[in-house]
Amino acid sequence: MLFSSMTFVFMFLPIVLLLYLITKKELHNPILLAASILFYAWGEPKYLAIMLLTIIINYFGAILIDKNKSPQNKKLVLILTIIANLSFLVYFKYFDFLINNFNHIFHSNIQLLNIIMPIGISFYTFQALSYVIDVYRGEVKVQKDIYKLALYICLFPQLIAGPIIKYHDIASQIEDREVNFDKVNFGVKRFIIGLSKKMLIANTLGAVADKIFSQNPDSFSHLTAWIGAISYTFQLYFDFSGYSDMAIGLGLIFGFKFMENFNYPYISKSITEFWHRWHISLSTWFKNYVYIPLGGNRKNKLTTIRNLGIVFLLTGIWHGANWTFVVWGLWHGMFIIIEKLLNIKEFDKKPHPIKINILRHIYCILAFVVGWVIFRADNLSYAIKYLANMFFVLHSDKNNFIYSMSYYVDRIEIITFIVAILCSIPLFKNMIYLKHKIVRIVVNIWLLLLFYLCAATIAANTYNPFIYFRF
Amino acid sequence: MKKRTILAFIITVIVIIAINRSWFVFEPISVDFDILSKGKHNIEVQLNKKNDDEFKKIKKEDADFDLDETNKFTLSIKRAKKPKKIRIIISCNGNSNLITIKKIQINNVELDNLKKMDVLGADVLNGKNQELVLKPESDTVILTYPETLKTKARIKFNFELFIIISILTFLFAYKLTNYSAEFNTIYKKSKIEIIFLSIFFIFLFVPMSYIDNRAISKKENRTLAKLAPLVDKEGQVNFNFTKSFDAWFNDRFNLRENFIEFYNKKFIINKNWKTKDVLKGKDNWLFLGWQESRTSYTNQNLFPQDELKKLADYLSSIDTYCKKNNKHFYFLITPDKARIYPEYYPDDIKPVGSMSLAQQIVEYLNKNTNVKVIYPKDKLISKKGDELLYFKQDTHWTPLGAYIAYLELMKEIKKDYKDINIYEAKNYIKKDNVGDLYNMTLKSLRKKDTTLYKMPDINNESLCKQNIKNSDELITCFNDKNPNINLVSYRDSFTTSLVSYYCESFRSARYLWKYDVNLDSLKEADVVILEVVERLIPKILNAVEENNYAV
Repeated sequence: MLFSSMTFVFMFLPIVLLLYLITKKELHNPILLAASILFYAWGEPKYLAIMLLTIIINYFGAILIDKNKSPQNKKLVLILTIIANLSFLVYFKYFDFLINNFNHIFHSNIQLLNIIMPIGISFYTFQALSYVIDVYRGEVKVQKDIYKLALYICLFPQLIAGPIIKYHDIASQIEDREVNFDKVNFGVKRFIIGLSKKMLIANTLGAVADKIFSQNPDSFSHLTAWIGAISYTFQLYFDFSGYSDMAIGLGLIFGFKFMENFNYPYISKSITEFWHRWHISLSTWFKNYVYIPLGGNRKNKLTTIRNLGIVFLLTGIWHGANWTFVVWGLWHGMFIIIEKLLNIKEFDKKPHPIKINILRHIYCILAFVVGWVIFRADNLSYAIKYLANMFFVLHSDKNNFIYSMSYYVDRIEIITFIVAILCSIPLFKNMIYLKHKIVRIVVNIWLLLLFYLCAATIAANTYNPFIYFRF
Repeated sequence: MKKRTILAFIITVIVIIAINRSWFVFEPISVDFDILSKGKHNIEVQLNKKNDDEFKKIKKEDADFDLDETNKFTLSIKRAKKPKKIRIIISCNGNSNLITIKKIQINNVELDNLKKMDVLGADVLNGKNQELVLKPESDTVILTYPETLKTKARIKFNFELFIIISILTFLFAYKLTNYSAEFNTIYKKSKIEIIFLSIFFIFLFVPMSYIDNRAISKKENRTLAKLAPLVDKEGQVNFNFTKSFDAWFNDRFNLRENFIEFYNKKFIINKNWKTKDVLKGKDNWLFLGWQESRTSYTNQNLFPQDELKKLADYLSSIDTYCKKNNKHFYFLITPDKARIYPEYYPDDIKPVGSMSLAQQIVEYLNKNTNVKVIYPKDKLISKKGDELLYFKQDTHWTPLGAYIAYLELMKEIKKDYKDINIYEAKNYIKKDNVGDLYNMTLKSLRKKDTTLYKMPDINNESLCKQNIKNSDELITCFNDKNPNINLVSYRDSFTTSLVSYYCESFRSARYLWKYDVNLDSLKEADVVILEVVERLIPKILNAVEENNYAV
């Protein structure tokens, strides 16, 4: 089920909320678990089996780790559990990609399996891994109640698009949490904000990006190429951070406090800063469970560079089975390493004149916008052609332009662009937490209006007229 | 009494009122017939809620009856509370036996003097007493009773259900209010926030508070999704239940049309609005916005060689079959509206190159096959200066546009059938038109087209039979004044305007609304036409592939 579907917002959510809010605490976890399983099974019932298996494997894996006294045995069980988790992920997400590359390199002709990836597998696998590793490290107690572990792994608010919750952050909340008026109130507000980001900004600009990226890069102008790239840059941020807001909001309604996942990444002045602000739950996951175990930056410079390279390669691969993601990960890794060598953290601490700061913003924006083009393109050759058009290397023929600019961008899109820019900077930050009465009234009315607009947008997606008169 | 008990009581009353249909029901109105006739008939009863002859607000029911001499039967019409008028539609299924209606009773009250009935489609003969004797002249006989009915549905009060619902609801509501009252973690309550949350929560329940039960949506011109059961009749679990549920809910939630209308208001802001379905052209012209339509106009849908060959092979196989069996096959490509009137198309979309898919196919077929292909684009363009040949706010051509294409097509057919009639338009009339694109346009963006379109004054609809129940074959026509040349036309919506001209040329005509030609269906045909509008040419390949057509 998607957050932006009619069934979720206007059927599943109200019923689950009603049941949850009117029942006593003892029933909260069972209701959430049942709702989460239904939520997951809704999209494709058979993939539920994989998620349930993941739960069972990690449940017993962690118990075995806990029971074993010898460190070697503990490690062995941990490694086996990690392999089991990753093998699901590799099989469902990367197997066809691997076969494809194998065929390409060895000129073989192994049939693709056309595996369909279960939704959310990248997210819940990482959550499951976080649990067994935390238990192994002794940071948390082993969870003996399989229902509670199941709830952690498949909790529906963040199940399909994060944030990736680490077990040590949430273990105590699963045991005991308070549901109160304030949490519900702020949760609803965060949810509305997230839904609006997704439905009103991301989808509008996504349509612009889709129109442009579906064309051959030599069939539109340099300006169109830039508009496409920037539209996608905004689409991705508002889509992803919108989902995170919805998840955090829903979590709050149910009494949870999830970690923040985005912190205005587009105002960064360096790529290092960007990764402190973008998809924080993923970057901290890699930091906790890959970068630091590899030695982090405590050894020599070369090891640090290697470790950063590995982390960003994995970050790229995590996003999808395509070379574009690998290159995108390495692209970011490259800037991170360069910035590390230049010791950007020290540089950041000192004040700088505005000119320098503007240049640093431009550098950072260029780096991530180029990155998003690689990320969005269907394949590397498309990405290269697209970038060539953006940077005036590709000379496209005007006679080949099917659509002129006004086809892609009309007034609504221009307004959305402006709103997107304003919302990418911390102009309205903490608006919902302001205490002034008038401000609260204005914000509340505004949020209800936004929710109505979102509802209308979701409803409009169901409009599906048939042109011929035949019933 | 405690506050929470009162609250529980109020909730119970609200629920009971909200679901009154379950315990407070109107019984169906029964209409009893006593009829004398022979053969199969379909009888439909329509009860009109309003006291007018338009029969727009009706509840109806129909059934097939195999009448043999005298017959008594009953139709029950549900949910008709207080009908004012009755209309009876008798479909005779081709037989013209006399029909004698002896008696009609509504809820056991007899309609007095049946001879008062307004009769359409049949001759009224003299019958005994109050009997109505009809000699059908067409396939459908329509009887309307001119007087206002004085009947109403009986009310049935389901007492047991009422008790069950009341008690269970109260118990549930009482528990619910108790839980809520003990929900003591609420603090820092502020009126502003309570109002905010209340509106939000009420709003969440609005869409599911009423489910639209209609079978079809007039606005969207399609059947609304039905809910498939979770467990089917054979006891198998339906794994597509969730998808079916989504589709069902998406089509039927409360205030759906209002939401959609509101959403679409945003397009007013745009200079040249383009919705998913409609593109605003110049001078109040509208064009179809779907991708297939745009790629066709911009020439982005050209076929690679293998697809050209596949299409040509398919058409040739029909042609070869026809030749072998002494028939003739014609492939008619209807030009897209944008192809004939590009000057009204939005400026920001331009075709690339000069070769279109239709031209590509015409050239390929002429070079490599014997298939006779007619693509009247040039003829239509040469005539478009005189009168409009396509509607401004419809995807289709006008009857005049269709007439020009008909003449082009008949020129070809005449070569094979020397004695075929070609209809010659002598009188013309002018008529306005409400187009399909106008209907697909959001209310707030609509600007009515008041143009009067010139068209041949031809009126031969009575020669055609409507088969509403068979969506693949909506009409068949028969005109015994024509020489014995019979037509089977595979078609899309553009053939609709050709039907009346074909009626003047062919003895019989069958129209099959699809592109995959079934050779069995051609047995009785002399002329076989496959008509396709330019933008849907790729659909022919899909149709062929889906049906594993052996070419």
